[in-house]
Amino acid sequence: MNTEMENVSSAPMQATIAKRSKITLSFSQVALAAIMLAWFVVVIVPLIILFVYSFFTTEYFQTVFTPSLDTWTGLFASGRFEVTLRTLRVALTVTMIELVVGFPFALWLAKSTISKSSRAIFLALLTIPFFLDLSSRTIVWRAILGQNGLINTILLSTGVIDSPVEWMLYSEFAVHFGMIPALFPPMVLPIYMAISLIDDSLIEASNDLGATPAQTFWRVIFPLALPGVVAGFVFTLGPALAAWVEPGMLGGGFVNLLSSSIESAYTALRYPVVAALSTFVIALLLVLLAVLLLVLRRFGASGLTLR
Amino acid sequence: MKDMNAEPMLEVRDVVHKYGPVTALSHVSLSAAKGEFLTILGSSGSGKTTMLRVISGLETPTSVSCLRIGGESVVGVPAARRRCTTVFQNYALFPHMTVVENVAYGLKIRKVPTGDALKEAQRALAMVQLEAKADRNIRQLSGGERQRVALARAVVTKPAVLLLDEPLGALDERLRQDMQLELMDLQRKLDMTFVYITHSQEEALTMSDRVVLMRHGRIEQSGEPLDLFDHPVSRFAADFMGYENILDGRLVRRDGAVGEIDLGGGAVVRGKLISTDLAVGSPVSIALRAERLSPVGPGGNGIDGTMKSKVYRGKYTDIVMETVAGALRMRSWHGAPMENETASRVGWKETDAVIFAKGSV
Repeated sequence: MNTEMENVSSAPMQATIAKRSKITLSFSQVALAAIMLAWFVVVIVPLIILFVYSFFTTEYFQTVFTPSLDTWTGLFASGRFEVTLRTLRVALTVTMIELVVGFPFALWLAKSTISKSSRAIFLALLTIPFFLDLSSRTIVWRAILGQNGLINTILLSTGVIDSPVEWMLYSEFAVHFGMIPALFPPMVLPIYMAISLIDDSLIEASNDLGATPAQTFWRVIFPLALPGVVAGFVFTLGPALAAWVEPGMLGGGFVNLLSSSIESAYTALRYPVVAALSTFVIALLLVLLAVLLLVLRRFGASGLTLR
Repeated sequence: MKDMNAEPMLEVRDVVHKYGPVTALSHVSLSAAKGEFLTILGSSGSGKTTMLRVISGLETPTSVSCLRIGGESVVGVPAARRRCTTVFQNYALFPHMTVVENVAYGLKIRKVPTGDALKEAQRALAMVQLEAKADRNIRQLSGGERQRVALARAVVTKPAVLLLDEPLGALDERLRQDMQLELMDLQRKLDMTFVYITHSQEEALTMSDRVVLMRHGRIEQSGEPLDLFDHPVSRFAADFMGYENILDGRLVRRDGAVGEIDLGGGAVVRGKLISTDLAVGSPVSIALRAERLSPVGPGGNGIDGTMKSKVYRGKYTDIVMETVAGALRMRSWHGAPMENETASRVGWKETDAVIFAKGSV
């Protein structure tokens, strides 16, 4: 009797629930579609247009809208290959330095016994580079690294050197030097996040089971921090490949990177070349990422927890 | 009873540990023989977990005069080189490794060839009935299964002492009871020294050879489970061991092991004296278990009262009696004569009540 009543009353209720969940489902579908559409319009479409543009050519400062491969075949003429290699070298060097310096720093920030407030201060310090425009930050280095700059003045006046050190500015060294502080936070922050998520008891368990600190690092901490490393790699390598402020301001025309080529093509109104070079940079980034993922998967199959 | 003459597997003497101004452990000493199941019982903040961490080496004590594991002094020895492993409260299984990789971890660290390590790990998994899930991901396991993996991982390296930090805390009631039996079985099979941390007196009484009850960083009482259950030495111990009724009074007479105490209001009752050095006239407390109380006729050892409430709970009935010494809780098993009657006096056997110095709470 009682159960019967329950059955009767629950039938329409189930219907209502079903109806409601149907509505929420369709709403979330709509939202998803809208987000994907917006993303497509804002991000994907420009990339496609860029790509399409690279198949046009320029004549008398006018874009000729006839499909051709001329831009692509001409892309590596006039020493572009060398520029590409230099770009890769600089970007990878900077990324590796960031990783080597940034990982221990992130580990220290996330897992050392520093107080909560000092941790907050360090995290706040890491966001400072985002406050100021990159050009303003970079141009300061000229006053510090230059022939008559701060460092040379100090070194000369203290008698450490007799003539000013010249390789500090307008050199590849200067470009690296300018890029490293700018790209430090993008490497450190994702790694810091990933390490913060590692439960302290895992580190203790490894220690308890007999592992040395080095073994714990390579077998537990690093594999679990890999998602952060990959993210840091993307956030650092991308901007490093496309960097143009530092090479422009601190390279002084001696350090030609792909970004410089893009800029000069842009100045010359050769939009198809700009498009082709940009596509090329994106392709480089994707290839490097694919290589990174393959290497990681090979060297620690079970360590890669990107799921 | 274990052979206590053999050198203890674990020996801790006079350990003091302070977290800043807070003293977590204050001159604690304990030891455990080979194959002994020692339980450290206490509420949160009693220092029991700190004790475990000091033994494992994850915490360096402020001072300790002797700390030996498996006969070797481990003062100043890092956790990694101590012959003891821990089963963590949250299991602390490595999420990026499979079940068998987790278990083989300690062996791989010790440079055991991979083939042998995996074989050993499989054997350890078989011991906890998980060999079929060796290649599973940790995320695919249930709580009880994770518990067993943690256990297998900790025993595979054959430590002298296994430390267990409330390992059953996260499991549901039924599973907990099953695991209790399994743990005891495993301990006997391995003949390994277990040091088990818990806040549950039921777990402590079920599994242990010996129980150490801790409170505020000190040992309140230690002994065999029955000893703690029947002879609590203080109000705290009695309360922790589940004595529902603890009444304060004054010792008026002693006759061998039996004492007579005046609860005030003309009520004088008898019980077993815990300590022989209680002087007549000193303030004492008497502890009574609800299920050991029953209605008695006038004149018997007991106290007059009126029935205040009666709650039927299935297997038993809980009755509250109002007496001159305060409310007394009484439990009557289903089917016992008390169930449908009213009573005007509750009593108990002298040996069922324990009397100890009143002390501070």
